[in-house]
Amino acid sequence: MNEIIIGIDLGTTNSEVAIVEQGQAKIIADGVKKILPSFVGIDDNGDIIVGDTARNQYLAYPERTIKSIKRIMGENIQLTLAGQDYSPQEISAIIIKRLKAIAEDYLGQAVNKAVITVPAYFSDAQRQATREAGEIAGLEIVRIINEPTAAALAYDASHAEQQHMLVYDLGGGTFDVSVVNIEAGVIEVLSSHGDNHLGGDDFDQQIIEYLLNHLKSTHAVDVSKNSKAMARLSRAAENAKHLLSTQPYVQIDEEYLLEDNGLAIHLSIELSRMAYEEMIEKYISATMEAIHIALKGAKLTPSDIDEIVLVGGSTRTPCIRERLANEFGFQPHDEIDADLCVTLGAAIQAAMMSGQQVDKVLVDVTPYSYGTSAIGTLNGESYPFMYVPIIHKNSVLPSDKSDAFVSSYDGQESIDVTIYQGEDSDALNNVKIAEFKVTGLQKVKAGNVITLTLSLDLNGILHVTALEKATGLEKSVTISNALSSFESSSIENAKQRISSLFGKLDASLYEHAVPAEIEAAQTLIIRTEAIFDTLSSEDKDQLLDLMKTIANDIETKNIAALLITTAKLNEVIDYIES
Amino acid sequence: MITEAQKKQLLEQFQSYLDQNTVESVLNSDVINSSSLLNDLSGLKSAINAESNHFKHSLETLHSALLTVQQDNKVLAATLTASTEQLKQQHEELKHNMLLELIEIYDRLNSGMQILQNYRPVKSVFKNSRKKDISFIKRFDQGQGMTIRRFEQLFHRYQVSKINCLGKPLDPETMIAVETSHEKKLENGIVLEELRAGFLYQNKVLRLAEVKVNRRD
Repeated sequence: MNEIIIGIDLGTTNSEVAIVEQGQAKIIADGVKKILPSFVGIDDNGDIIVGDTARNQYLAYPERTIKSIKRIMGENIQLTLAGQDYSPQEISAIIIKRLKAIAEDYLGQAVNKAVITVPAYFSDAQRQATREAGEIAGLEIVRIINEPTAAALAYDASHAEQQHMLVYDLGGGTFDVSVVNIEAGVIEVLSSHGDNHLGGDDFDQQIIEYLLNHLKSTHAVDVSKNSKAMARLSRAAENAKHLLSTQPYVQIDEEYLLEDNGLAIHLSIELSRMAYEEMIEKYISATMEAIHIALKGAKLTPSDIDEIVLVGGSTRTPCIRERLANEFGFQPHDEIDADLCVTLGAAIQAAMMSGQQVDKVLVDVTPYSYGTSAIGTLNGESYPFMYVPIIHKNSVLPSDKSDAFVSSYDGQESIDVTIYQGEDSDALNNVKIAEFKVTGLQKVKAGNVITLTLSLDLNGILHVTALEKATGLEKSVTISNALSSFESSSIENAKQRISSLFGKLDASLYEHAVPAEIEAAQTLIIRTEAIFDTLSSEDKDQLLDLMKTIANDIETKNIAALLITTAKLNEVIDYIES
Repeated sequence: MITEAQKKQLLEQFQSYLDQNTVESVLNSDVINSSSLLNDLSGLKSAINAESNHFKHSLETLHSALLTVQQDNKVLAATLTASTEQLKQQHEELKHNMLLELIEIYDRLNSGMQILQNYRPVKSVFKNSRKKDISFIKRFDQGQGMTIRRFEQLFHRYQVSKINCLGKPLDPETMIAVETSHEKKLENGIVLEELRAGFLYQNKVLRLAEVKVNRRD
């Protein structure tokens, strides 16, 4: 039996532990919690507490609670906790010890070795301090690996050929981007850049300010002084942010938010993804600038990057994915849970060191993109069947995504919704898997918003809903085997396209299959006709007889006779042409 | 033991056999052709052996099939147990989420109720109108109160209980401090205000209480 080595991600805000079991990397949960807040404290009885409980008391008892210890790792200072001094290593050791206990509890045996991740920018002193923390916790730290390296490992970095990977890590409060070189399974961080004060919390704050301004302008109230209302606004903002990752609009309703001059103040506002993305544009642009600095540091250009990996929960914001795809010309990877992929990578490194077989991290993803067609621009020209993917290829299942479309002319009372499976930007080159009509739309000017929602589950059941936003009118269809390859439909689709291109062709050609022998004979006759005028009258007579016989054989569908006659004609033609 | 009657019957049969067969007929008979007999016996033995092998093979196949069925049965039983467990977890998760959603609605109803209870009709010269106004608010208040009680009964049925925080020391297992305030007369860490109510479900935390606590310094 291989020795057990655990993988630990010792984060600034949260920490996690993972192992590889039966070839699969797996996060070890403490009950149902996979994430341990990186907080250490002393409770009322003088006992040490770690994680949620320490976080819960932080504001009440800051003198006996410590957070974000990672920020001061490697510094030669002492922190006072309930009147006693501790080094940063000792505080980190308490967190590591808790993670070790979680792993031991799960495995039912002692764990003595670990791999720990650190940011790529950590100095030798910071790495040494992390190693010491592990040792104080009773673990031999068999290796310290960079966080981007761990992320690359989680995404199967065992490629033999050289490739450059960009690891884009956007957490709640920090941002890091690293350029990684992978060659023959060896991963090296070429450069790294980041901002310690940029993250998803800034996105929440933007929404909160938007809501505060709205309340001020509509109700003339300043909510910022009301703790209860502010707590509700913070939650509403975070929830809206999450929903906007999958849908184009979110309705934020907070009834009875507060009382002002004896009157109830309600918050009811719609926030569009577009408006939200405008709010956070400056932050996203800052991350793009950081990418260019990191690329410059690695002496590379965007075209040198082969793959992009998204790490950190805040990367779920769709515009990040879009900006990266526009910049680099391909879609970034986000199949593995962005919050946990560094820990999974640490576990994979640990398993490799203990000689365990490691398989690729298994995630259920969709092998195709699913979307619809709309009027748009294709190759610089207006085109009515531009493909708009809604669920992208490699999206983790189950996937639930929405997008908004608008009616194209005044008084449009119905729309035809067609759902395609495929990747081509021309929808007609993809496979049509469903179509339906939504009628009874309100008679309004062009621009009536229709929201299309695609929900794909693990069993391949695709549920499509089109909804007129203004009225709530909706129509749905369900496709039961959406994950299957629709090759036969694809052929049929291609046939129909060819048929429509050559409108005069007899449609029956596609309805009744013609035996291959007859098709071959018809081709031979065309070939004969092409050289007919160049022949002597004697040859012409001979060929005419054979052609008449062939025509008769085709008419009577006498395939056996047809084969003999075509063989004869073939022989004569070959002789003449030679 | 053979009886006298049986002995007698056997002897009679033997006598009858000797009377019916001569020595020549016995010698000419194929029955005692030892070569043929041995051949027949050998054939018979082979047939029996083949039959036996066939039977043995069938038994082995049956045994193997039985083992496969038993193995499959074990796997199926394990899958069934895992599925039952998974179903149970999903059910719990669903119930958990549903209860949290209900609590959100309950929160909002309570907020509305508080605002309603704070309402004071303006003193008007139209006394009749004011009376009607007060009566309307009172009835509305009663109705809202009944709806809130309905929620509380439902929570009780599902073993959901509210966490009592006010005036108590912060319990980090069930409460989270999100704000502090300064009250000289009170101890450090005493909960001054409940910003969001917390709930237990079967004595486990369903939702943490968000509280404002006292800081003396």
